[in-house]
Amino acid sequence: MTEPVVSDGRQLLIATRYQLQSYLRTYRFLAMVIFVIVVGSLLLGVLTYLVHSGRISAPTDSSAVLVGYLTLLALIVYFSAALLGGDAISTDFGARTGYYTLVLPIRRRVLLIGRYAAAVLTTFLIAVLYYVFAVAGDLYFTGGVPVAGLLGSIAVTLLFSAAAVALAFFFSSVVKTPALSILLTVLMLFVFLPLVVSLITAEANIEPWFSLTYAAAAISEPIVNVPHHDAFGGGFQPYLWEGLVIMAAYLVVFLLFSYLVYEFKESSG
Amino acid sequence: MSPTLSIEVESLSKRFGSFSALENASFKYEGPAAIGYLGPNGAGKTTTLKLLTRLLRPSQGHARINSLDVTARPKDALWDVGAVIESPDPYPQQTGKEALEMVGEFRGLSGERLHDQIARYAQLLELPPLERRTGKLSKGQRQRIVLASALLSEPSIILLDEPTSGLDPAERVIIRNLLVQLKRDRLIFMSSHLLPEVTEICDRVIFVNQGKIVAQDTVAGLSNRFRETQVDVEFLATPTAEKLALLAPLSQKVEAVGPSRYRISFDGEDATRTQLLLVCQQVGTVRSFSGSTLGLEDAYLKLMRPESAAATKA
Repeated sequence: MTEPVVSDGRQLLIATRYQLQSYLRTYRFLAMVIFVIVVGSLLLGVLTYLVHSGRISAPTDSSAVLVGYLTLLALIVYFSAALLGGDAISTDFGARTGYYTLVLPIRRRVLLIGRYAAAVLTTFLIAVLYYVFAVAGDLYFTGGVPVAGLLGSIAVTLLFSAAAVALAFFFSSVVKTPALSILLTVLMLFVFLPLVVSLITAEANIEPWFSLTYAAAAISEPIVNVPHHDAFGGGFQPYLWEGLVIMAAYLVVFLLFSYLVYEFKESSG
Repeated sequence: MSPTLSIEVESLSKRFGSFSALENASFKYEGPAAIGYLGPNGAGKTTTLKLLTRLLRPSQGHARINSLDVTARPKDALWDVGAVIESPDPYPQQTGKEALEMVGEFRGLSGERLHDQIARYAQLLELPPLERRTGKLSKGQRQRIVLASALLSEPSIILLDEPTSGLDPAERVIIRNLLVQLKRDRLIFMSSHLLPEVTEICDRVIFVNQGKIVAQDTVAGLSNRFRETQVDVEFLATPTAEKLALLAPLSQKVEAVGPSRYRISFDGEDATRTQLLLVCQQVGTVRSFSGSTLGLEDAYLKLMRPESAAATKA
């Protein structure tokens, strides 16, 4: 063999490119795109019907319309992160793809970060698609969009996607069955965390600073600043900085944990 | 080609809890050759190959490729290695071409050289249409894509875990012929259950059983060491004692094992065996004469399954 050893940086780009290509071809990605199109169109259709039938008055506050749309964004990110990141590591040990890639002269951390980057980009792409519907709705009803707030919100969504995918990678690293790791991520983000948040908020009046689902509310903060406490007659609303810190903490802690597991995990099956 | 070209395993052990999958294994091979790694299921063959590719970490000892420790410097150690362990699956969404391109790019191939290499191995291994997704291919087709990906960068060291498993006879012939060609300037280390295949491809063999290396030698050396030293002969009628005495100069022991069947122990030399057959024909009408040298298979049975070897004789 005459080729010189390829640098980690170059291999990272290759890993990301091929993983991205792989994700964009999955039925899961297609399902998410269809889901976003259906949800975005339905919202637009229902609102239009309600306004034109006179059941509600036409909205005039562009920020309010956008924030209204964004209440569903976190769910879309959760689904996408679970479906794309949920089996990113477990597939190497539960299926046989690991025997194809792990015997190559490439550091595992390079493979992991490449896959992670691809999963985050794909999740973000799906979120951006939803933003397109949100902006379209806003323009349709109010004729304007709060551009600065919108861009800030998109930036927060990128970090939020990165945090949600890191959590999915964590489950993917600790279990061997790809389907189980996806299921655990879904249960964590849709059932466990929201349940705990509502319980400790309602019963103990404690701010759930440990929960990514709590931090999700920061996505709207760049558009509309909501008071920290008792926003709508109960509960908590994170400050923007607070939401960003929680997301960053999820990203760092769970990605690091995933890396450590992936680095030392053995193909013993 | 790498100037060092070596595979070395030094006091290598792998334990899973209280189970010892590999125990204190040591061997070292240098230069172009094909090494067969033989043993029954669960003997430790795949464990050794996984330790050589860092799919597993050793509990004790070292695995080195081209003098580089696989655990300490995996990327450098595996740079000049093509490996097929178990039955790998490329990403099912990738086409065969993309699966090969990805591996080629990771290994530093690009542009025309990459596409020339893909075309070369597509022809050599008679690969399926490369625009088809790997998830849609048969097991044998996928196995050939995986083998092509391992050989694409022309690595000096080739590690194969039962490379023809799951292939049809025609596919096996393709792989076997390729490996015979490759061993001229590469070091191939392959596990297999197929003794005729190992005999045909490999120069040296290592026998492993219950996690321990029980023998290593050239194929010819092991075959000779464990060659057959008994023949069973059956006559049409029971010969007289005087006639049987004719066998004495050539045999160490003649033992009756049936009404007109005898087991004759001798020195194992081919010439003696031939002489024995001729003398038996003087003793009486020979109905059967069996117990030919089975070469590697005989060695395998004696080393791995002494009870089977005994049963075969009985």
